[in-house]
Amino acid sequence: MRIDRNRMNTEEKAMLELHSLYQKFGYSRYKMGKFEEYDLYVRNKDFIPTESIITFNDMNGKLMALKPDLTLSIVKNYRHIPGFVQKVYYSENIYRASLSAHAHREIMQTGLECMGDIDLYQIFEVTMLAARSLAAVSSDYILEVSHMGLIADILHPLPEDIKEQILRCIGEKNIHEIHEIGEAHHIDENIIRSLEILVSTYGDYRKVLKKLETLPLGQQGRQALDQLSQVLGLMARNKMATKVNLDFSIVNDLTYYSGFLYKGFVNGVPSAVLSGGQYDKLMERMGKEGGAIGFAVYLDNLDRLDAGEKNFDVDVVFIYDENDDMETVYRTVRDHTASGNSVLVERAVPKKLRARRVIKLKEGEVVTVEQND
Amino acid sequence: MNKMINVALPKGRLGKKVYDMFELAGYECPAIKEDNRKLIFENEEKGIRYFWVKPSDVTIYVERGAADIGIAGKDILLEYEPDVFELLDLGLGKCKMAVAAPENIREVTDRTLRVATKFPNITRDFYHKESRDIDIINLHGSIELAPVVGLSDVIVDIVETGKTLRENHLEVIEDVVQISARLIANKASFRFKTAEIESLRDALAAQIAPKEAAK
Repeated sequence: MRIDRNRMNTEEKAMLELHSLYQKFGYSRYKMGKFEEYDLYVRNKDFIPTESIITFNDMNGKLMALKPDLTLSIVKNYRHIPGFVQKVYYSENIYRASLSAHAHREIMQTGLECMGDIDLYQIFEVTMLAARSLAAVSSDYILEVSHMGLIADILHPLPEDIKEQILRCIGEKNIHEIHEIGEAHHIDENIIRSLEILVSTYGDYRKVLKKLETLPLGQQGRQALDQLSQVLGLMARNKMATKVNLDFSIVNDLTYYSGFLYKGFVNGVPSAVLSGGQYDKLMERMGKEGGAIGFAVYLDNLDRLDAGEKNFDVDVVFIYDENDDMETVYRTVRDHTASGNSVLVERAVPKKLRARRVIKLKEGEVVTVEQND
Repeated sequence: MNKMINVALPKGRLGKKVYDMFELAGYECPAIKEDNRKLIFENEEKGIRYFWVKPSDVTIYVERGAADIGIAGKDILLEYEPDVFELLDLGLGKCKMAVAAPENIREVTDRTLRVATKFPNITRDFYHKESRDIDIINLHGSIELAPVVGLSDVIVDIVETGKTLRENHLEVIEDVVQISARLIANKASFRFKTAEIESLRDALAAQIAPKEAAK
């Protein structure tokens, strides 16, 4: 039987599209269990955006967790082969605490990781796949790209606790508070000016890069601008950069992330549906050789895109009673399903159900009782 | 055509002052000043729609995208830490969050300090930095009563003029953080309505600069 994609919701369609997209570029499926040793998350606490993890003791008394994150489990099992990269994708549930609801939530996540001797081509490929992942969800999307190398370079002379405060302000596009912190801690005016330019310049990559060229940057910052220019230039030459913006308010923990960062948005969903970046420093912290880059797509938010589209719950409701010939009932149902309609067989139309058409048998013949379109 | 901007305004005195700023910036919606109980006001021509919401709910409307932008006090932003952009300090509703205790009472240092507050997260953070062991008593109103009737040793609350404190024989013993109203934006809306939100932000910012300069 052929799968009718029109009957799928955005989440189901997106998942199939993403799997097919990742396979096309040589990514192989990485299937995982739901549990992981709790210790892994304790050692990398700040990598996971959730404070609360669901734990339990396994049969041997070992403390286990329901996975709040998938990247750590993939990295844990990674083995470096010099000169190569390992490309995997996954589609699994994760369990995180929702601060506003004060409860845990099960979140469906599909994503990919590229680990090993990462070069500029691999970074380009992941960036391109991030843009194409968003395009698979909706044509009205924006991929925001940032680079931790540039941010780290500007923040480099500052003490760790100040860096943390300023990173938060960059993430909030909060220029007034950056000035306040600058004044309170007597930070060099040049750094504050650079930060102001960094926060207030976003949008088309050519425009942003041109402005950032004027910043007094060190080697790490220059290298970051060069990488951004090369990767986004290649995207633009292949007509894939029209919905890609540079925005340095995409920030992440300096102890784990080193290079490109991504956040993806689709019109109609109020939070990011794609998130990721290059996390070479996590690899190093976990004793792994090589670098790594990847992203995850949060499919559970996509149901907002479906709202209001569906006018009917079912195409046909077939009302039958005990006197009807079962053979005729089934033959009628089969004819309808074969022509692409959905059919609900019931003794009466359920309350509040919206049916396009209601039919029944009268003297052995199918008659329409109600037509609603 | 410009895209419609949804604005969550905090009900009350601050909300009215903020609306005046929006009006001066060219985003008027005269119906909002009529005396009625409507909660939504729209000026299609100007591409703006206002909602009146409870001040502590503004961040929820904005974070979840029901409103594109909103006005929230820094106290609410620090307490709930919503994932939003903080685009502008409007310089309105200025006050401070402070620790207050009964006048002339010796500071409690030999046991766990009992603190009554409406802001448990801000309080926890503040005392954590001071490495103090505290017992937070989360109240929803009349915080000043707590130390008077022996429910707590001190309170952490918003202080504007200090009149309520004085009338209850309390005094500020330490400042926690300065508070004022901030313009916040939903992170996804900002991406899809960038030009509209930027123009609005700039029109509001233009009103703040002369005020600051006049001081």
